[in-house]
Amino acid sequence: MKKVFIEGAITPEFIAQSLAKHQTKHSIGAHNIFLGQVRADETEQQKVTAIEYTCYEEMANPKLEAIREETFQEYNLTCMHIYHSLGRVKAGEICLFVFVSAKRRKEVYAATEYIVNRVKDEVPIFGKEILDNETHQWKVNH
Amino acid sequence: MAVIKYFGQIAEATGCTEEKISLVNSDLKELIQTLNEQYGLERFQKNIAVNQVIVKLEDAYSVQDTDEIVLLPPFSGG
Repeated sequence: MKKVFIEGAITPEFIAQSLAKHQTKHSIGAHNIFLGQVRADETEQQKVTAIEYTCYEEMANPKLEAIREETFQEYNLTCMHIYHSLGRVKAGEICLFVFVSAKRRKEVYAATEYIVNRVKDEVPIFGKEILDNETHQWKVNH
Repeated sequence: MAVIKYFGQIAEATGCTEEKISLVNSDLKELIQTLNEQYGLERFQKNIAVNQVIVKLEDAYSVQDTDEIVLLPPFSGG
């Protein structure tokens, strides 16, 4: 099973290394990347400073595996990677990294959106938004 | 012993992430109702997973001693 969850933020260095690893795969002609960044939302004079992610891993991992398999059935991809943070990720840092590669560009756009939507809708991950007075609220996906 | 797990705002309300309950052939819907009353969980929108699969409470189900029942708030990954 592919490892998806990463403790803490997904760093720009990690993303760059992932890209570099694909330069030996010469059948690839197009990559597409989605990066989810923690936004400093403001609510009633409070600002989100970080999101603390938890997940039900025993269910999340098989679900991610199913999304992965179904994405390969649906789209003609050479490879795909999904990474999601657990634990605390500060505003401005990256918490979701979806990376798909194919021979040509058309497939990668649609596949990226398909994966991101399914991860948000179907994987049991929970975001606790930490506010600047150290209280919190629970993230709601729209 | 069946294991009951809680996540997110639901775990916050129960004050624990996991508990073990001895129940055999107990109706799932009744179990959830008991937990709702015990911890005041009616106010939460939630999904119920039995052994890692989301189930519908309308479908009758008898909880087995080896089951893992999980109360999940709305997913908010990404």
